[in-house]
Amino acid sequence: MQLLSFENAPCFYFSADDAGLLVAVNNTTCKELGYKNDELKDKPLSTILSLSSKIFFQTHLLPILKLHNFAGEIFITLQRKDHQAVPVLINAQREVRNDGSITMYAGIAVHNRKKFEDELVNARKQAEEMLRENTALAQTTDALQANLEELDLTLSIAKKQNDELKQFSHVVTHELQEPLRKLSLYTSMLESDGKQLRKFDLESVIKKLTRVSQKFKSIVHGLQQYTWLSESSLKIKKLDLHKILSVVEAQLREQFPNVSFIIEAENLPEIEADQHQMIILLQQLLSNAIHFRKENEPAIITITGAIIQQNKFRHIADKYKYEDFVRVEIVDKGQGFEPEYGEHVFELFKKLHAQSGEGIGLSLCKKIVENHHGQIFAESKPMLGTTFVLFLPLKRHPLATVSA
Amino acid sequence: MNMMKSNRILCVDDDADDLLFLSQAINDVSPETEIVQALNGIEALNYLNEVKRDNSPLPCLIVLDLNMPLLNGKDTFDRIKADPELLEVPVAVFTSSRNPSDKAHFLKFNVQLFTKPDSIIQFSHIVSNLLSLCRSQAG
Repeated sequence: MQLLSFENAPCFYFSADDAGLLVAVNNTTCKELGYKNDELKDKPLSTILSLSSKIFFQTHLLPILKLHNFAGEIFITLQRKDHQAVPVLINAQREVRNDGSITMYAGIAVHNRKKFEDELVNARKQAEEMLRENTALAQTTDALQANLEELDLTLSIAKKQNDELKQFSHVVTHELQEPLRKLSLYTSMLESDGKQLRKFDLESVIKKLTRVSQKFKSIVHGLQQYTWLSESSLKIKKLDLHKILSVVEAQLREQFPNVSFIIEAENLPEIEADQHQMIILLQQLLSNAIHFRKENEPAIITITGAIIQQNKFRHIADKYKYEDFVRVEIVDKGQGFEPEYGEHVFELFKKLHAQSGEGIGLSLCKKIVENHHGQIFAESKPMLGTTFVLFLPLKRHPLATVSA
Repeated sequence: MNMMKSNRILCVDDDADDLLFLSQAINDVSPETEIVQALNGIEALNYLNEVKRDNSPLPCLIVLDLNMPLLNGKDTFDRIKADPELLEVPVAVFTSSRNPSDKAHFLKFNVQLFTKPDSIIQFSHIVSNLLSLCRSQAG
């Protein structure tokens, strides 16, 4: 077997003495650098170094070699005979002998190393850039989302206030005008020594006057209640709706001592809400159900809760953010009302039945639900009963503490 | 179709006092006029359907309040005008509403709108206007 020579090994191999003259150069090196075999022997090492590598040799590599006798993974640029540069990664080993020192160099050409490195650096730069942009984008998106949520909430509040203003204006232009006109009308009957009494007697006119003043008073009282139930006065805390319900049921037993009624409730969760307003809400809804029960029948009211995900955006189209809401359904089998009155039952002083109270209860309910950024709907059919559906957010959003 | 003329006024109002004052004021001026009272639009339409079914004379005038439960004045008016048999019966609106859009709505149909009075004397003035609407139809 022929002894394997490193002359044609796939690597650069050369050695030089301390005087800087090449002692041995393998064939691969000569070939790669464009020299004939043996052409480089005894030539200065600097012949095959690029200018920058010559300086690097003098200032860095030789001092290291003299100190440690070894240097590894050094990147230098060799120079071909035609002055083209050949990037090479070398290991160098210095051997101190009696007759002087020899340094052996072995290396491989790394034509693509620079390209790979550049690519790596570029890729890393790009990744960093993308990450930075992505973070900025995410931050912008978050900020935008928060702004939109706030805008939607502001829209809700503006709409609520606008609705309330309309209700007030209606009350002032109609509900208050009527008793005022009546006061004026009855008073006119008492003028000119009662000549205008016509077929009425004094006593009946005074009775009418008293009734109208009481009506006036009850409207003003209702308006006060409606105004006091504002959003800014909310004291939000965690509430167990079952506990609230038992408080309300006790109040109802007092309010309707001679009426038999059954309230069944299940799956009501804890929610973050104002205790006082929640009591009024359930009290009004349930007393309505009891009041408008069918004649000679007990009132049976079933209340069921379920947690659902609902889009919190109400006004801005195509925006979605799902949050946990409780959906509370309050079903009675009472007298009910015509379905077309569905939305109107929540209007201030709207009365559907002749025996209704002040006509304020359900408008208070709507206001309470809206104070809590929820929704309330009514569905009804005459003689089949009424269903109220409430949606209330489980948690009070920190953004939502806007004074109204 | 029922073409008989009558001396009957249908008054539709949920306010019992206004209904009473109006009826008395009509009778003070024209004792021969018959008055039929209805407390809301549903009652009024029920009465009119009954009249049609019995082939009795239709009222010479319908006096409509606007703000009423169950069926308000506007909706009652629309239903009357949608009925070919009732279409010709004159309608007057008697309301405490001072809403200009109500007024505009009924002016479009050539319907007179009377504001509910705040003194007893004014009832007589309104009544004479109402009766002239009734007579123009009867004559």
